[in-house]
Amino acid sequence: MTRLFAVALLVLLTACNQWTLVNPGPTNIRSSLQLSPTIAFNQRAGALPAQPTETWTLDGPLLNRVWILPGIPEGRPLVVAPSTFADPNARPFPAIKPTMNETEMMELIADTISIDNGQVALTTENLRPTTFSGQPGFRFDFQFAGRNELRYRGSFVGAMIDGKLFGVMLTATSLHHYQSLLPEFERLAASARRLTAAS
Amino acid sequence: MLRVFLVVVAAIGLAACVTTSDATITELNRPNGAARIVLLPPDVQLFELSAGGISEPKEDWSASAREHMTAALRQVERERNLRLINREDDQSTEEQVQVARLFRATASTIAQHHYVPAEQLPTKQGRIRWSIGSEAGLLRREETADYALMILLQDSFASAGRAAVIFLSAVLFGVQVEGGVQMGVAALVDLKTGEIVWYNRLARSAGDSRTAEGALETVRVLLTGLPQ
Amino acid sequence: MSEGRLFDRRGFLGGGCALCGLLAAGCQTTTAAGPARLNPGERPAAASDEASLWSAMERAERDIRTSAHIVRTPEVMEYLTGIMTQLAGPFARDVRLYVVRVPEFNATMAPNGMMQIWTGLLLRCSNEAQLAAVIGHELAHYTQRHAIERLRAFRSGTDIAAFLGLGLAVAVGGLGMLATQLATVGGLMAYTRDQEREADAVGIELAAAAGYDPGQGGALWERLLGEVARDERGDRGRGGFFASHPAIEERMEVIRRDTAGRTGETHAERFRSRLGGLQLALVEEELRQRRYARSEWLFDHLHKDGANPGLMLHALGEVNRLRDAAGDGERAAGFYTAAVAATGAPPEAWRGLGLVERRRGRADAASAAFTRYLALKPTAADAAMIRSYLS
Ligand SMILES: [Zn+2]
Repeated sequence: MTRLFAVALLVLLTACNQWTLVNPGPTNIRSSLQLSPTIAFNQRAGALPAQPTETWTLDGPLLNRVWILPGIPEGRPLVVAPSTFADPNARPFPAIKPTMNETEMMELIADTISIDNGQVALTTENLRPTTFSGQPGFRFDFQFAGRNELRYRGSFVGAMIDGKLFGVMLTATSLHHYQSLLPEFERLAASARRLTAAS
Repeated sequence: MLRVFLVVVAAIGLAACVTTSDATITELNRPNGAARIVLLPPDVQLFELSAGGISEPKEDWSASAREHMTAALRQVERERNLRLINREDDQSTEEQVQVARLFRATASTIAQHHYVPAEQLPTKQGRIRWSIGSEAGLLRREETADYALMILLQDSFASAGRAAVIFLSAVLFGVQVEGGVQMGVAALVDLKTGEIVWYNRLARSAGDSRTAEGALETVRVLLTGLPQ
Repeated sequence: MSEGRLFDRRGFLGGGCALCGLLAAGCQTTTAAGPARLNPGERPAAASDEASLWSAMERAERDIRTSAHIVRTPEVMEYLTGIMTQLAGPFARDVRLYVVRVPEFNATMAPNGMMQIWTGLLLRCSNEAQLAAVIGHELAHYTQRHAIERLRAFRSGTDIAAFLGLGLAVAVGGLGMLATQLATVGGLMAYTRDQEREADAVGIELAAAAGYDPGQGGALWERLLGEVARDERGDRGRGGFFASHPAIEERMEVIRRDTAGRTGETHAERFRSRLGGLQLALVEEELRQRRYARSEWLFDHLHKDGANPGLMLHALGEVNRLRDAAGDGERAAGFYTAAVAATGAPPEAWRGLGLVERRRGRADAASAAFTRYLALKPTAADAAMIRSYLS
């Protein structure tokens, strides 16, 4: 019982300042990727140090979110701690391999999202070549119904550069939020610049 | 972890306030005097906290509470010069169901990201600025209406056995356990713009929607601060 | 059948058999005399605790009917409902079947007669008799009124450790929850070992009476135990299902003893042909879980059973392609090649072959396979990307 309340207190304390402001203009993610949003976002701060990705939102992650992959290296999964929708035993999530082709990267991302949302049936669409940070990349769209019965749509744009997976992904409710955020997402994806130690 | 978190959230909520409403408008659109509002079926769930620790849904209580709430809303409708248009779930199209679910998800998002200090989103600058989009109009059918109102209410009560456990836990562990909690949300959406124009949250360890008088009191508290 | 800790959090569509490992742990006792079994068409007495539980479940069922996670293919549902109707006999009009898209082995029965079968269970059945064993078991939970018996035991409040467990969080955390989620809370109870044993026994007799081989239920259990033993995650991979069923090996013993020497129909052929196109979706759901060793073992056994050779060989190819450990590429190519030569392979087998051949540097073989794939499925989700590989 005492332990429960100790945990509660800890949660309460660490929960402070969960979201920080991302202002419009160039912003660096983990000193490996630069994005230039044209509107302000909220960024989840103080996430697990081991979590290799960042999450931005405008209205709350249940409604819309931008997921940022700032170069996930070989052997690492995209998700470290499962969400509250996921089976707590879901770990380990599938990990990056440098030999992956675009179809397999799409499968990896889609399966990760599916597992993390409670093993939902997710449909991927329109995998196609594109560029990301000036490099040959890929993009695809997807949709699924959440375990909360809300329908979601999403898009991923990214590339495997020097064996690391870079990308940005929009996930938002099919109604309203996906369409309303898509133009900003396109700008965000186009603004992506990979940062290297030398630059 | 989630469970603990929710307990903490509730603790903050209960300690801080009974109701806290917030509006983006100062007055309702009243073309012919009365404000025309689509009333989504109030989602009312009553629970009994049993000694064993389960929140047992009491559907008989919930059913009568729903009736009392509806009657109470009729009375408030007269008092406040509203025209409430009842909506039944059953004939909704899939798209209408999705709009209602988005409205609901938005309502719970506001409860979390507006009222819980640690979860506040800096871009909102402490204001309620959420929208469900222009599809909000789908909540209206043939009738003319400018708004839709959503009411969510959960009421829980301690059983006799539970009351004993509460006493016991206080004595044995020095832990204070709530005997019963009333939690509610009322949200008003503008059907043209999809904006949430008024929102109220209720959290208290009092209130009883099982009786007609209790339901009327609860509805009045829930609609506190609704623009005139 | 019932479930445990694993699925509670997700608890979106729980029913009566849906349990809570948290509450169930250390509380495997039962009251001496349970309620009398239901009669066909019987409903609980008005204003009773049981009536209240039923109405809560009915509200949940209204939501489940419109859920995005339900299988709706009319031919499939007609077939599966037919199996249940036949087993339920006089109770046929009191029970309803829903197939829920969750790639895990489970089935639940709510006290009001709403039965749920998860797609992961359908994938693992080799024949109709195995599914009948599961349905018979779940029907028994309903006719024997196990849910209300369990609820009353909890309510008596002998388990003080549980009191902080859920009540509070549920009372305060649930705003905006759907009725389906709330109903789970109402069904937060594990069946006891005795109840599970009784359901096993009744289920066996129901299946036998309908002409099925009653031993097939035991075979299904055995297969499941073999499969989870291969889970990369060790005991965690066994999941809550086993955590809340400590007596599973013992139950299997009893089932084996009670069905020894008895025979009947399995209807394997009918089962495969009637599930039709759903089977590719079931395989894809399993692949999505990325538990390679376990899935490979399962597909291999389903293949040995003679189920859809083209589809199962394709599935084995997919596991090897996705795992991509040493030697997997070559093995995958072998499975895909065998798949496209067998009956029932999906067009995706050609794509898989193309992808592994491309990775192995065999450009011509890859191009040939991709061309075949695009010809069979020009509107595929990855058609644009595959075309870019060809140019
Ligand atoms: Zn069972």
